[in-house]
Amino acid sequence: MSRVRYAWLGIALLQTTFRTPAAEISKADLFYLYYLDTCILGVPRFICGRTNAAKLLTRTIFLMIVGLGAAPHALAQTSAPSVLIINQTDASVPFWSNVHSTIRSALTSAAPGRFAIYEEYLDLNRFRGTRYDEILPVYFREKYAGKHIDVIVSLGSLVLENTLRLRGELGTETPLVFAMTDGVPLPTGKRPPHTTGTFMQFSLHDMVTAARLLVPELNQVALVGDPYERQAARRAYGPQSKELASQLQVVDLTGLAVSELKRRLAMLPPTAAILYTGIYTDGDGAHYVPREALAILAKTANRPIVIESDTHLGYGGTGGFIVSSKLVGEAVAAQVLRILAGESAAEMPFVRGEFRKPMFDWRELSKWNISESSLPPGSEIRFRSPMLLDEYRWLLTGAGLVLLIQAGMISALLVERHRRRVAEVKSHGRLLEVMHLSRTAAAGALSGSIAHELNQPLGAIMSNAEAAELLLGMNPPDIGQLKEILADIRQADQHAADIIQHLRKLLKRTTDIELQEFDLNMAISDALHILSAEARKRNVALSATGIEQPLPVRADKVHLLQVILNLATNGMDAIADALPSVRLMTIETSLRGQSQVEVSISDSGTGIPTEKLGEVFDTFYTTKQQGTGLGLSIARTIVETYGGKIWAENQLTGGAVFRFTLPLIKAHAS
Amino acid sequence: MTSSPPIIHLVDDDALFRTAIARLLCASGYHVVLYESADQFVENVPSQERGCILLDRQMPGLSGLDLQERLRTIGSILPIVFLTGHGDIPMSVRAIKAGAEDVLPKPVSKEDLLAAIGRALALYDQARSRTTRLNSDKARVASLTPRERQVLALLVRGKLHKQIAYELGTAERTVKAHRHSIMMKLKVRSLAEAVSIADRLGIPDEASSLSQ
Repeated sequence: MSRVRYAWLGIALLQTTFRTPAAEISKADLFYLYYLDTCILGVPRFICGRTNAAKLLTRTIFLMIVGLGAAPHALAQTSAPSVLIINQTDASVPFWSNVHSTIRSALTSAAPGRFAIYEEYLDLNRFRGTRYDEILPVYFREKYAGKHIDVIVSLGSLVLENTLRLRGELGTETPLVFAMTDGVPLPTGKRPPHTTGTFMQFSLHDMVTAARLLVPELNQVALVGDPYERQAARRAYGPQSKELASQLQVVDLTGLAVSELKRRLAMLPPTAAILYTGIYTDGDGAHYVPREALAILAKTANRPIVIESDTHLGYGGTGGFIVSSKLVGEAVAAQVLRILAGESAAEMPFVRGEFRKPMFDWRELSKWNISESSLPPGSEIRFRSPMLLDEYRWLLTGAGLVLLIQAGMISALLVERHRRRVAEVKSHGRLLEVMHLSRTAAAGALSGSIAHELNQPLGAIMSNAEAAELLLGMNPPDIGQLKEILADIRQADQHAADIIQHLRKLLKRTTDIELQEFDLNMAISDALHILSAEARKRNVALSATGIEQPLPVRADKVHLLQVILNLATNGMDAIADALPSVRLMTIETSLRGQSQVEVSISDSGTGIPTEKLGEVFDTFYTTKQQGTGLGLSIARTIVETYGGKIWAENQLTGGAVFRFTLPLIKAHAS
Repeated sequence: MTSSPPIIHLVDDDALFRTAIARLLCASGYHVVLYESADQFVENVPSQERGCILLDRQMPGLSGLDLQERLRTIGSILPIVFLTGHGDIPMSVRAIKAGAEDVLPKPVSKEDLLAAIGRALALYDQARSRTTRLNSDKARVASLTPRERQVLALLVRGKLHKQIAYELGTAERTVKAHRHSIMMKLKVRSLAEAVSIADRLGIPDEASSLSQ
């Protein structure tokens, strides 16, 4: 740790050594250093920890460093590096104030709180003449008497000349850094001593190039600004405008009054562009800050305005190859720091500074409907109205993500829902299928007795027909009896048709539940019709009792028919072993409250073991050799589908009773 | 007997079918008596006049087979023709074994029905003539004195006069006189005929039991 501290101290001292004359280091400084060393950095501790020889060596080096350097504390008090910035205009020009503030912040960030920065605005646009030239040196001499200036900065073309003169008053050895000059004032072939800097040449051609970017079909340019001869940096623009006249229509509006300009700029043809340099004083002698004049003109201008200064952006200028005050300030500050670091200004070469950058005002581009794609690559677009996406990028990304996740979940749920519906529809279809199969099976089981049932009317028809043939052979035929025969044939035929009708009802294949309102008694009577033959075959006394009034229910009739058949055939199976005299089967209806009807189907069989009462409705529960175990399960499904309940009981008198309830459509008036 | 038409007893619970068959049989020259159920038939067991019974197998209450059983026990000689629904083989076998003349599936054609009735009537005639002969045999045997019956029984068992006389403790001549009287009373010319009558009436069994 202490070694690191030493290194730091050494570096600090070395730095200051090159900046402060050694003579100025006082004994107090030395004491201060020693104090710093002892109390804060703990050098003696470090030194004491070593052998005598090492102690001696270290202390000697330490004292040598102290002797060579000066404490930063003392330095700041006595001689801070000082920079004088001389500007050609007045302090109100925003471009220059930007340059100044960039220089200031660049210097102070290199060494915080150490610089003394003086600024002088000569306002050469407005103050000129020999008298002024005479006063200035006196002013400077008097003002800066006793002040030490380390570096002079000269900003602007006009001022360089003056600065070179004024430097004499402040000490000719003082290094000079210039910027924002075309270099014209410099004595040709002879480089001033201790001087360095950057040249920068404005060019009307560049403005036209920019104008072509903004107006591709450009054939006219309007030149707006102070007369070029008054603008030192743009002295070349006059001749350049003459050169351009061969390619373009050049409308020179320089030096006009702002009011006149406003009028003229509103009447430009659509193939024109305005080239604005800056108005300090207009034709009426009114003074302006150039960008404010621009703002006034831009309000009425009907064409895009090419500009050269970044401070004009945002005041109605559309853009162009623009000088960045920041780049200028940074370049100057870098040179100043190099000189302060000990480099000789004379050895630093003059360079052509490229402080320009294609820059545009997004709002103006939109206004003139200029596509960004037509701008050169690397263009800086300012004042882009912050897109929602840019402003709330994370919020929007987050919200988008949430939406996306939500959408994903919703679609997943929808897919799931769809699949469930498909599955439901499928299972519903299967259920109906199974119901149908079960009905078919029931019909199959009943088919023997139904066939017999059908043979009755068929036999009757046949015999009647044959009897009729015989009667017709008699002389005279018994017409009365023939009529009776025909009536009987019709009746028998009707009977046969009824039987088939009932069977078809049972075998009807349904793809969906057909809800209908009907009298439950009708379903029971249909069931009795179908069952009667079977009951006769098995010698079972089948009867129905109960409510005679209509029992309106809402269901698919064939399903309820199926339930009754299932329960009844089940009962008939149960009493197959009973003596023929006690084979009884009763279907009974009764009301449960006002809103439900109960149907009970009882048999005189052996009943159901009590522990199995709950299981009989389970799917695949069967006690029969050929049973599928589906009949009662399907019966339960059907009854529950229509909002009813089904259960089994044992009768006190023996035998089982299956009961089910169904809701009545309207309260039955009993 | 042949002058009046045969009586067909039709037992079926299906009114339409019943009347249709009745019409057909009437038109075919039969006399038809209708019964709605087996029970009704049992309550009014008909005289054994020439005829037959047409019986539906499936009826509520007493079934066709039950009725057949009942009629057999009371010695009815009326042949039974069953009418049945779809081919029910076990039932048909039972009915035939129990003496049914025929089992006809419904619907039945006139030809089949009349043919079956014809066969049944033929059977009735056979049965009837058999019973008639048996009755006259019985009457003739009844006219024998107990002693003559004893002699007949021993004759049937093939005993010689001498043996009979010995068994009965009489003279051979007396036995011969009895034998002559028996032949006269039974209106037979040869001993073989007398033996045939005795056999029909089960007299040899009587005799053997007597001898033991």
